[in-house]
Amino acid sequence: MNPFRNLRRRFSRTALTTIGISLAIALTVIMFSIGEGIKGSVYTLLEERGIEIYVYGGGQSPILPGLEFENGREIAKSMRENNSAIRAASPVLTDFLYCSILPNVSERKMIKGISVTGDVPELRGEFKGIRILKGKLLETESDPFFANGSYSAMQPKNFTYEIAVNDVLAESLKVGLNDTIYLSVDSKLSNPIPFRVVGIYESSFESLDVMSAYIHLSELQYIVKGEEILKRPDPVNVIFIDLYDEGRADDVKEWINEHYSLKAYTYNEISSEVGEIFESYETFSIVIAVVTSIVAFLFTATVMVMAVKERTIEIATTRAIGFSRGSVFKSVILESLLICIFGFIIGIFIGLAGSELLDWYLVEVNQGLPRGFDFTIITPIVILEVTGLTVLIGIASGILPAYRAIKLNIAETMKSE
Amino acid sequence: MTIIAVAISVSLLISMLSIAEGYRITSLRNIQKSKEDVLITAVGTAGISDGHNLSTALRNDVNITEASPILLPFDRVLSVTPLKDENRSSLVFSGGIIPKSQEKFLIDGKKLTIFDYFEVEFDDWFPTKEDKHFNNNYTGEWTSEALIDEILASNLGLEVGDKILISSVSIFDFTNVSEAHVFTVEGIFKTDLKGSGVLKIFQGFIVLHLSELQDILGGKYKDYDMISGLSLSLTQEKKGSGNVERIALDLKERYPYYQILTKKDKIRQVERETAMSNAVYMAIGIVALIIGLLFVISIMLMSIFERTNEIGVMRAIGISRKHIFTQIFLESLLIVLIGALIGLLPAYYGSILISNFISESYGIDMEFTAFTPELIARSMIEIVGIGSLASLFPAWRTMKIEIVEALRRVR
Repeated sequence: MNPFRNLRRRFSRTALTTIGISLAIALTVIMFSIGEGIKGSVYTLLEERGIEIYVYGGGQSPILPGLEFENGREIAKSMRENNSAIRAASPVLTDFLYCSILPNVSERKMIKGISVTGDVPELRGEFKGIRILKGKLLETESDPFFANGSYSAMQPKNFTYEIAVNDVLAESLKVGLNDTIYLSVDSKLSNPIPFRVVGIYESSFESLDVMSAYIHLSELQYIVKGEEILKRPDPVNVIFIDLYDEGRADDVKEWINEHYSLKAYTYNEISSEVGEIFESYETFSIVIAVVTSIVAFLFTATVMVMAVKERTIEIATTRAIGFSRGSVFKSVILESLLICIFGFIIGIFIGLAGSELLDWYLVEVNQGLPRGFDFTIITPIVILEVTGLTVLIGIASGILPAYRAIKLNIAETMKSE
Repeated sequence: MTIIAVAISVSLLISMLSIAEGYRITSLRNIQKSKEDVLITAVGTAGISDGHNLSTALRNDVNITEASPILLPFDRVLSVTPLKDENRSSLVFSGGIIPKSQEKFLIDGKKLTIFDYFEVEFDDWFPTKEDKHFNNNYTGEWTSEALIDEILASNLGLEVGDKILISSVSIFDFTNVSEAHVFTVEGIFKTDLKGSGVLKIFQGFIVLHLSELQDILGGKYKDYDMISGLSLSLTQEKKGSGNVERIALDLKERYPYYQILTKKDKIRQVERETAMSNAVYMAIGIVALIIGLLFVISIMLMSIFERTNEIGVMRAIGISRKHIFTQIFLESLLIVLIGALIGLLPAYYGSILISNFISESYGIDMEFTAFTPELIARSMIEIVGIGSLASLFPAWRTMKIEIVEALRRVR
């Protein structure tokens, strides 16, 4: 009772069954890789960024936009001075503006809506999320327009006029270092302000569609808020906190929530919150994997039952010459397992290819995701899970036929044939 | 077991196809229902400036009966606190409209579809229809009227008539009330939004008069009279398709820096979006179906092998190869059909389950799958088609059986 020989004997049947199993395995690999991809990507991206705590102006969730809060710099300074675990506290404002390479443009294609972040370079700390390709992420370290705690004479000419753009924006407007681009609050560019490109960066946090730029905090505040910043000075959306020891993140977060009427989140909290949003993809994929596994199991089990039925004489003869029930049982199970293993080997390769394809597609469809975000990742865990599933299907589908094989009455069987 | 496997495969295929159909059908239905002939939005997310004046100018156009400005700042939240309980507050998304203009777009006098996706139903409307506060550069009278959604009302225990504090900045303590504006809840509206899954962070939605929202948000919203879009309704004679396209083209020339969308454009957008996702769902469904059919082929081959002797006898007594071919082919196809028909029932329940699941996880109370007669017909045709092809192989194999060899084979 050589399982290999038995499989070779009915080659087309074996081939069809193997193909069926390989498709089921491939689909399962793809589905399982979705869960790993999402969890892994979110965690890695946030961890790489180097920001341990995010402080918002209130909010019940770290992924909802938060309220703006005033006196961002003062609050950040107070945090730094009163908690020795804090290496840097960087107040940041982000808003959307329009930009163009010419001040007077009526051609719609020449105007781009972009996301602009304003911060103060010298307050940044060791944030690693941004890779500079050319120049600098702003040359002037301080924020001259807001020197000494007030906006100097409210005249734009006191601006540094420095801007750093991401590579997607640079490519789109065809600008390089020292070129000028104009920023305006409205799409008609009614008050265009010229900025000089001092740097081009590749941020791991920009999706391929969102073009973005960095300018000095007070300059952004003035452009977006106008005269209102005199009444409500220094508005920011968030303060990024960099710690000396990232293990202290939870402590410092609690401390901030106690001492300030703001809401702080650690990067762990954010990644689990974001992960939850994609839970639906995960559940969905597990359901599909389970259903196809059931079909694969039914397939293999039926084929094996029929295989055993075909070979009743052979099995009876084998038993008659002294082979034990145990060895017959094992032989059938092994045959079933072998089919599944062949299917597994082919299926893994198909699954790898399919998983890459699906990843590409999901990234295309979900615009606004950070670059470097993978929806599917094939990790050792995925391989392990699929291997386990294959073995389970192989053994389970062999049980019924193996049981039937050992239950054969040798004499009756040989007499009836 | 074969039939069960086919049934499972078929129900997975049909469920997948129904998801693909679902979103498409719902979006298209919403687009057709809408009273909006043309939508003007900004390129990117920054907004359209000079909203009030632009809407007045467009309303004066002979082809346009109404131009309603809408502000939906999705990158901003407002803080809402009940005056009767200042310890509770919610962060909510907001919308600003001019009631007199927007009410012309309500379907059945109450409903509005936002982004052609989810529905809002207003039982109560603003008492003051004009946007008075805009007069004299935002110094006109405040109506202080607000409409809130059910989720917000339930989170904060609010009823019609209650007073609330609204602010766009973080307030450290409420003694400084000048930072916050007092509004009265004039109505509670229903939305499809459930506050579950992806939208579990969704705390609620509040609608105010346009200029009052702009004033609260301040900055560019007030300095530039910023809005997110304009809904246009054309005169009755101009509603025909050719006219709409021409008017849209004219608007595109006048306002090249904005995006002008007609119903046709929106439909094209939905078709484009759903094409790719449909491909994925179909792929999953078809893989499942292929596995099921491989099963059928396998079983049929084994069955033919078992019946070689019988087939040999049939050939020996004069039954033609063609006849045997047809018999095996039909047998195989029958298994597929029975499995498919049985699979319809779990497919139906499966599609409801999936719809509820997606609804929970996206937080929108909507049907995400479409189990329509057309879908069933289409699926059955596909299954029969692919099933027929699959059935050809075992049938072809029987034709190759030689009579003598077959008769010689002892069971």
